[in-house]
Amino acid sequence: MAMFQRSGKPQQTPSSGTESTEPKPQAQPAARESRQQPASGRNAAPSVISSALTITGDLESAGDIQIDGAIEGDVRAQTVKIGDGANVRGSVLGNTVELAGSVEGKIEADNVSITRTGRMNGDIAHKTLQVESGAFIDGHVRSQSGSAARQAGASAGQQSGQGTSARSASAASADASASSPSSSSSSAKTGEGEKSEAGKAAG
Amino acid sequence: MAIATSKRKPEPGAEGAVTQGPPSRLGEELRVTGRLATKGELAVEGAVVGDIFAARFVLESGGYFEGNVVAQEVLIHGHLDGRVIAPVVKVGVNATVNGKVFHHTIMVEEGARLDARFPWRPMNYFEEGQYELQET
Repeated sequence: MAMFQRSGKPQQTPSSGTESTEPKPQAQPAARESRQQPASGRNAAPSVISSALTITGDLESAGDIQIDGAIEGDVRAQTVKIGDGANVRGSVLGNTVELAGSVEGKIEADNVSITRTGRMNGDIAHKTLQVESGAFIDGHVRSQSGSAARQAGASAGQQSGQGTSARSASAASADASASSPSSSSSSAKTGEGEKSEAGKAAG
Repeated sequence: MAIATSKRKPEPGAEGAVTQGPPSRLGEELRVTGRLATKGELAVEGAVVGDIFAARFVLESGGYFEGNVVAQEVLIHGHLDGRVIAPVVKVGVNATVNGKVFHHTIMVEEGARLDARFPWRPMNYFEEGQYELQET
């Protein structure tokens, strides 16, 4: 019957199961293998945290994550899209972060873009930054440079955000000199993030 | 927004897991540690360690879950290690189940690997507050 049709596997009806026990074990491993194949490739379908889901804990993925729900914890992924209405309390680390929802914590990513509905309470460490008019940011915005920048600078993703990033960098350095203790601690954390980010990129 | 998903296909034999809100899907590259709560459906293809509270929980083939899951309906195709508390439980061919499965109705496909206890419970056991996660 259609009981397990969600998984898209070939299924015998329970009534006909007795005479067809032979082909079953063969068919299933094949189906399983084809399912697991995308894990090695980059293009596995993104994970979706729907608006109905609340997660208390950490998420880690080598792929993409779309967040529409609420997360209390750290998110680490290749691409993190935080949708309108989503709420993240914790660190968001990734290669690309698109923020249309709300983040309370910090963002560390090569490419950060914040849309007009985006709301950021905390520090942002980025290489390229894009902020739409209407976005809310309360925190330090710092442009990463040095080893981490060279690491991922090779990857072509340096879009048109150059001017913005330079401007925000100068603003951030002014901020940093104003309140040194918090910024020094956060920069230490950034170093960690960069290292692991670099490790992920290498692997 | 929430209406579209609540009209999902009726499961034959199921008491009708009432899912509210759009479904969530945790892809195979995703690892989650912690507590996940939803009134909708949660499909896991990756690895989750922790507790899950959902209307409908689907552990896909290749997925891994360790911990407690409380749901109206649970479909297991992957590897589950821990405790299930759900009135409707279905175990697929590829499934591996270790632990304890509290259920009212259960369906197990031929080929599933079970190393678990399957205590039956009356329907009212699954109403909120009746079950205890600590029960062994």
